[in-house]
Amino acid sequence: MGRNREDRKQYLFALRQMVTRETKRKYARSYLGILWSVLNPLLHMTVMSLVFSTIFKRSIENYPIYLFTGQLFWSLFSEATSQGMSALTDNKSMLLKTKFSGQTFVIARVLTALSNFGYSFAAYVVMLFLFRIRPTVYMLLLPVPLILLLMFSTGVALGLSVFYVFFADIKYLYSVLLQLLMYVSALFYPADRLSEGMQKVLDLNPIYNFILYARDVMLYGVMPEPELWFKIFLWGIAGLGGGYFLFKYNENSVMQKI
Amino acid sequence: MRAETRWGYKMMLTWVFLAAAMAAAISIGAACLLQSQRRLEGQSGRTDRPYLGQRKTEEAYLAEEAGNGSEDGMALAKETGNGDEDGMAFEEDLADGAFEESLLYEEEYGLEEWDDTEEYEEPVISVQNVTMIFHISTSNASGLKEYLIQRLKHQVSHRELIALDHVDFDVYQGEVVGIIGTNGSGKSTLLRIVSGALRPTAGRVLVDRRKVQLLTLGTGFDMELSARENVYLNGAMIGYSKAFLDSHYQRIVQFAELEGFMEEKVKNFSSGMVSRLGFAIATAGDAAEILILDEVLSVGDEFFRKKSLKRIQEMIHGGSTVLMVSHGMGTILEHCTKVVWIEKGVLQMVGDAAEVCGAYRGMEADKEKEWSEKLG
Repeated sequence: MGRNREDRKQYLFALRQMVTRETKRKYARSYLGILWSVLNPLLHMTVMSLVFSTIFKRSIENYPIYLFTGQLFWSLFSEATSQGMSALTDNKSMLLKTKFSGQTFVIARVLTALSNFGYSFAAYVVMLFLFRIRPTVYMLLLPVPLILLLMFSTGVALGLSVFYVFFADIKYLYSVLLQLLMYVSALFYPADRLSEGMQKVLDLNPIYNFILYARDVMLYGVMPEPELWFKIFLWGIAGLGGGYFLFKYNENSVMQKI
Repeated sequence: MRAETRWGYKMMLTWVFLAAAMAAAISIGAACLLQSQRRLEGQSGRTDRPYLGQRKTEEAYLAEEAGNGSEDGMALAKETGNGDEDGMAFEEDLADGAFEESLLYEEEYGLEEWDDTEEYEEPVISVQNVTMIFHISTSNASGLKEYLIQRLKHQVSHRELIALDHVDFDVYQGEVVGIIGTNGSGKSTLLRIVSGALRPTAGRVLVDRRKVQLLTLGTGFDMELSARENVYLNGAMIGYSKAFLDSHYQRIVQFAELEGFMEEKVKNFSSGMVSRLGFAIATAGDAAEILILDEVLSVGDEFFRKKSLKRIQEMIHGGSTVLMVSHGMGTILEHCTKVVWIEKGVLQMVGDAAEVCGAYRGMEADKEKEWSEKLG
């Protein structure tokens, strides 16, 4: 038992070191460093609001917040998966040396994305105040989609990281897929403007469901529908399970290939 | 209004088409991956399916393929779909001959099942009939697209590289075992198998992995980070706790002789500095019970080399069992109680250091002679 606890502590320590390293690497040569994690989404939101608010002003109230909520979750997913994808290949030499199994490196990348989410979230909270969004109890539900999205992203990243070892092309393919996913996530347009068929497509998009949930609890202050609960739980658990299975199943051949 | 809905309909079709294309691409990739995975593991002794069964599926596979030659997309889908289920098409030639016997072996780690009634002392590391085969793709498909095209044309062939061929030896408590052999003869592969990073294709290694510590150098540094950050990162990965690193930090810096450089980024270090730091981190801990040293003794300048040799000797005398790879014959002769000589994956000799090294030198001399004759 004592050994287990020590092992876990060691594992957490190693994870923290890796996350710190990724963050430091990312901003290695910039002056503002970690501040960019706060500034970036803010600037992004400003630009998008300037461009689109005239078009969607009538149909979406608090357009910047609408946008920011989606953006926040979207960038968590896209960063976690696209960074996590190359985690195994980038850490080749360390992977052969360490006693930790390969998924540690992928998880570290996902957690790095989470820490970025944290910084952006600080900016988000400020924006909520500025736009006088009334706080509700439902806001306390925000960790639900966050954790489930993390699970989903981890699963996707684990799967992708295995693919990436064998086919580096997946990187380019995935960036296109990400773009496709982004446009069907209703980040910057109102979903109800779309045709019915299109809305069905949106419903099948996991990220859109997470974003819907987040908007319900943050922006509209309502309880998400049971169906939405069910869906995000399903995506989160299935995503993680599938990715983990794929990863474990291929672990040995990955080690050989690397 | 009407125009808008029609537009939406078309848009939807486009989206669906795009999504389907993506899904198809990904599932094809998955199928190929699974197939290559099967191929890698087919001979590993984990397949307990009868050989006949495999052949049957292969026939079915060929028949199915022949049936749908015309439509490219269909053939592709069928083929990969089939590969997904039991893609054994490539395995026929692998499954017979030498590998059939490998099915008899099971893989196993851990010492739980040691037979205590044996007369001799228990080995700490027991390498039993280990064979390691790598598959190297001879087609030079650099990416998914080319790979798929070549697969469709049945041009993907794999060359087998037998890195280790039925290697068999034991290491007992307190022994210092050197592994020698020319470059590319499978020494590092062997160390990786013993340390547990790789699973052998056939055969097994009995060792308590919790006791094993693998020391390699110069790898795993992040060039963008400072030396201090690298000490913590690397230490954490090797398995040192935060408390341990905090208390040993000064010693590591002193040993690496890098006082005053620790806040510099590692990319500004010379290669000697990097390897000194690597050595200092790797040997900071108390010696593990089983130490595996991969070329750690050829580091830095003459002075540092002496110092690191001394440190390794301390660890050896601390009672560790050591398995080491080195190109320095002197080091091997001086420290090892036993030497294993591997040449091109085949075990040549196991025995007394002087004897084996002598034989190895003899071979080297022969080779040199051959070369000088060739060159005239």
